[in-house]
Amino acid sequence: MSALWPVLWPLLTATVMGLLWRHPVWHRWIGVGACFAHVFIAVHLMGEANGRGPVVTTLGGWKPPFGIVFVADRLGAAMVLVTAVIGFAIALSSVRGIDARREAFGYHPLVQTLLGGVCGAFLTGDFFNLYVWFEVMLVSSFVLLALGGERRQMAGALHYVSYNLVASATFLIGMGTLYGSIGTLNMADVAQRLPQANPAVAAVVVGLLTVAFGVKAAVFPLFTWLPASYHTPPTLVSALFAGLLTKVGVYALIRTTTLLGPDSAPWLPGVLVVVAVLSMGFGVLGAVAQDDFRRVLSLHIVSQIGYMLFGLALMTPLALAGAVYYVLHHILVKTNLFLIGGLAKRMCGTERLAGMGGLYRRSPGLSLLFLVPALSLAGLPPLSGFWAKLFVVRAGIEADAWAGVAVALACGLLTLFSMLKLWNEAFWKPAPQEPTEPLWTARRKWMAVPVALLAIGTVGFGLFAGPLFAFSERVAEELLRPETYVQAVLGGSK
Amino acid sequence: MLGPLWRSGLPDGGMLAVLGVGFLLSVLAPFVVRAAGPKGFAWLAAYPAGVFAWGLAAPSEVTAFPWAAGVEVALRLDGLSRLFVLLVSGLGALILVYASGYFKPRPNLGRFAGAFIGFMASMLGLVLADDAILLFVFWELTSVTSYLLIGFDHESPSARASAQQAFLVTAAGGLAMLAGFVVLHSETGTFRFSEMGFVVPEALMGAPALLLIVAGCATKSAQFPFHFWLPNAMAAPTPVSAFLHSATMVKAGVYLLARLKPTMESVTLWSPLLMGLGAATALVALALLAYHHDAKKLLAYTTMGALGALVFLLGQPDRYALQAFVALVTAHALYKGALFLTAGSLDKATGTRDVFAWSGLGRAMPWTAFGGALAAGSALGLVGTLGFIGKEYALKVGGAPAGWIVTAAFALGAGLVASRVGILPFVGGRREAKAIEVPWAMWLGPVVLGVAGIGLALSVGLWGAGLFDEVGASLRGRPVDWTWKPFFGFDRVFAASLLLAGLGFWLGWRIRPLGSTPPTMGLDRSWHRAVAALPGWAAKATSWLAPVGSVTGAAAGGRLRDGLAGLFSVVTVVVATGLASSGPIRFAVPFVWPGVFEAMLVVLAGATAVAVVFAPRRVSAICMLGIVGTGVALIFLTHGAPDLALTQLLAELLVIVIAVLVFYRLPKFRSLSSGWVRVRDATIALGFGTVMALLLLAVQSSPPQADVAAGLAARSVPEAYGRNVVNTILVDFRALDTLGEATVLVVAAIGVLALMRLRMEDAA
Repeated sequence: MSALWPVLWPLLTATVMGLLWRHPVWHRWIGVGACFAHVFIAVHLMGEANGRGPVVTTLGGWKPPFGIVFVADRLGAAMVLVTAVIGFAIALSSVRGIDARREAFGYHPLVQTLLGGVCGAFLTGDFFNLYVWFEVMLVSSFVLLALGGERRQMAGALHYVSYNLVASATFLIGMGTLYGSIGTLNMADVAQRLPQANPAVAAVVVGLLTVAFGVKAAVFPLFTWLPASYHTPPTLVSALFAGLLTKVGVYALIRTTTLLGPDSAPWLPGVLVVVAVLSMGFGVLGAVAQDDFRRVLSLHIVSQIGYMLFGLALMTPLALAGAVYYVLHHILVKTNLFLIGGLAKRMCGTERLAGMGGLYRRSPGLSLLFLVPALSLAGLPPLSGFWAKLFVVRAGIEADAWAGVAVALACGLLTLFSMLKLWNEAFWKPAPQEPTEPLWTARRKWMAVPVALLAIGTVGFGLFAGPLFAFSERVAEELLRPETYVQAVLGGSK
Repeated sequence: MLGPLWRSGLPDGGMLAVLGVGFLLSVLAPFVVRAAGPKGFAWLAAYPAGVFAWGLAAPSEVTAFPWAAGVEVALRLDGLSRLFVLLVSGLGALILVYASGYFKPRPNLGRFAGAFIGFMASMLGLVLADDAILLFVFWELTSVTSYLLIGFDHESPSARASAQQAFLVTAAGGLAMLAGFVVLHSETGTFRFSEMGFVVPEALMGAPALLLIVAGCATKSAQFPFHFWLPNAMAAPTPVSAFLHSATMVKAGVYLLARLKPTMESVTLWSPLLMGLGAATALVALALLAYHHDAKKLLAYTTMGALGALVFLLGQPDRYALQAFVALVTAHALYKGALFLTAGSLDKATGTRDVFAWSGLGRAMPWTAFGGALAAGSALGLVGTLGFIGKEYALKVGGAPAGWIVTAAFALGAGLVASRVGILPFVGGRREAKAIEVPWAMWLGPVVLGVAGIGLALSVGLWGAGLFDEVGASLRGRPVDWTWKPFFGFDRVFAASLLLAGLGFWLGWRIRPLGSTPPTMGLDRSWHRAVAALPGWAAKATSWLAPVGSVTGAAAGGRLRDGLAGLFSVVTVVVATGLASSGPIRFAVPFVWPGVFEAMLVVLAGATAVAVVFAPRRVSAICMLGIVGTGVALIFLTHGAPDLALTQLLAELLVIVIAVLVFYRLPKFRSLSSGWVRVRDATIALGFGTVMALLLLAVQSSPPQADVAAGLAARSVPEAYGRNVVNTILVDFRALDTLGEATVLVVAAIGVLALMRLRMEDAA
């Protein structure tokens, strides 16, 4: 199977929707159907990548390094699979969760182009092509963020696009430097040649890529665009972003660090540890300071990204496997929390915590659905977040990274504090004003379906942590032997 | 002797079934209680009753299969876990029956039942787990369920605060404990308790592991100075307090210490740490008792005292200390559970929990009085009770007077509360005329537990060698042969025991609370103050990070500017550091004098760039920027890149046209930055430009290693059938990039359309 399918499929879907521009109601079901098929495409690709090793697709028959190459190794395929799952959940929610005016201005096709961009970023084996997918992602997300033109949306979108454009420019400068000094853009080729390049230039290239991806991943101190924008669009859009976008940055960091880091930038892990620890700390402190449902959740993204980077920075098999497991778990949990936040907002009429309340008494179902991802995020067993933290913390202890471990544990406690705060305010506390309308309209019931599916996924992630972790270990093994990646792409030839 | 009974051979996997049924039932329990009302609790009691029977009959066994990353679902039934299974399930059954009489029908009761059964299953899992991480899983599950149960009355702010406090304190300890398990794993190479062997005294990480694990045990088992959550947890309904916060969950820490004793007592710190912790807890608990008249608070502090005494006993290597531990764990669970239930019944009957308001109720509530008195006897440590046996062994422990002091502190506290809750309410003059006996479901528990406390003591010679010696084997790590007797003769120890019982009773009878504000509850106040201050403090710590601290929104453009300045600084520093990282760079770019035309372009573009900065109006600024761009395009042209020059020119033109159109609608140009901000921005801009120039020179200093460009040029005509290599790159070699960029354009067009046409706020 061509590794291009997961990218082409959403772009094709978007095109079909574009042809039916005047029938946005059709977009809904086309979206659900296409996303469902997308999951199958991703599963199929995953099967191949896991069974037979990296799936390499050269475009237009141009052998690397002359053409663009797509590479689905285990990491890429797994990321695509989770993306497809999240895409499906969002598409399902979008059937009834988005207002008609936004639909008329292309909400559904924009989601598809966004998914295409994300999958492209996960699969491409070419740095410049990665830049292109970043652009597709950026412009789709920007339009989704601004779609609706509410005042606070515009303010958020301005922050978002400004930071991300500078990040893209940084990435582009890095690409220019790379192409100017070693004359190739194919990732595998770069991995092979960068060690022989001028070390100063190599350091600049890796440094620029790290900064650019760091902005995308929202790490300390480059994360400020995230809390400035994620709470502004409709919650479905926030949920989509929260699950996927920062993780593309994390993915790119994992890819470059493992591919280029060991030979060309031995200093990188040290830097990443510091960044990781500060991200964990400042993210969680920022979250604790908030009193708005979505803002609390937004800042926790930063903190959780810190855990993933901590695993990446340690670079041991266990740590890297932990980081991979962390990324996969977090995508499900975070998307779900935002979706639940959206439901809670509809039910309470506000997402300011002071104005929320009474949900536990009035809706046991939603309460239970919230507890699963919230406690998972806080790392309580046997949910997925517990295993993610356990793997990373254990790797930290085995690597004697005591300061990092201490911060990770303390931040775990603060995360619990902040989840309990959400629970106390929105669920346990009596509502300041008793709403008169029924809680569960047909629309909300529909929107709870993907929430329930994702919650089941989270529980499954915890209960079947064994096989999933074994898979993460195989991913880590692959990442720690970049020769295999290079070999798969370039074959025997240099 | 019950020996033959538990070799009767139940099928394997009994432990898995016990837990599986428990968790399944916790899901079903809400429906049972919703259908049957409070009576449903009595139906649910069938589960723990079954587990109790299983605990009596099941053989000692181990079941294990792998879960994830070296963690196993390993369950083990040995003496220690059997004792706790029996206590948890036995008490659980009686307390569920009690709950069926205690609760009035009310909403949320179903969810309460679910959490209660969930807790029970978690607690059983905790004591059956043979894998440290699995134990941690159940450990945290008991915290979660306890949180939900304490917060049963969730619309009251104090119940919410108490639930949160209990959860956070125990979770903090739990996290330390988790780290401790991982450290212990690095010493012993396994997470399985039964395979750990023992930590050699000279092991480097022995003491840190112990400290971390004890932190977990101390928070869970309310040891000083982490005890403050326990009295607050009494916000929960009585069945919860009786089950979780006296008989079972708070003993989890003690259980774990007992479980790890064979492994970790070889660490030098073991004895001093545990004895110090236990002694401090027991003494503080006794002191705090003197300040309260609320029955549940009093019971909470004696629980704390008992837990301190148990930890203290575990710190000693002495055989009698272990015998005392085994007997006291059992005795305490029985009598404390009974006293709690009695207090709950009295509360129900009289409407108050003030122990001094209860008097002369014996005639009205005979069964409750009977159960309460039997339990009080065991708590006082009268002859013929389990409490007596435990106290006797505790006093037999040789050596330091510290042991006597701790035992005395514990015994006096227990005696005080026993008399106040179990005896004095039922004697003397009657004050509450309306009080009547509670339903049978509510007196059954105290009576059964009270009778058990005496019956088991009198028959200890029969079964002690079976059950208790098996527990001893778990504590020792090897088989033991202890003697168990209900009575030890009239000696000094007996005299001391009797004296303590008398003194304890007298204290309960005579002493009035010293005041309403206990001195060391400052810990609780500090906690609440810290929790309240945390958000503000966190906001202060993060406020310097541009818009994070802002609650009102990310409106301020100034902040965006600051953020971007930061981002550019980061990029500048990264490039500069990278360039300087491998010593001084050698720039090997040959200097070529520019032609006249080119020189003119450079001067023009450069001068205009400087002028842009000082432009008075937007339109002039953008026009000058256009001149800079055009100049650069022309420089491209002089170097033989017409395509590039053309693209650049087009882009410049479009930007100027659009920008001018937009500017037309903008408000007047104003300068909003202060002087030093301008200096800062100028510095960043110049720094950024300088490092970029240096980077370009560094890149140009050596030719590219691989010449993909040349390769593409060579392939362009023969393979891609195009003479213009830029075109073949765009539409053939790298056509996918073009597809992506085309997508970007279409999406951007949608975005522009939406931005111009769609205004949700206008619609509203």
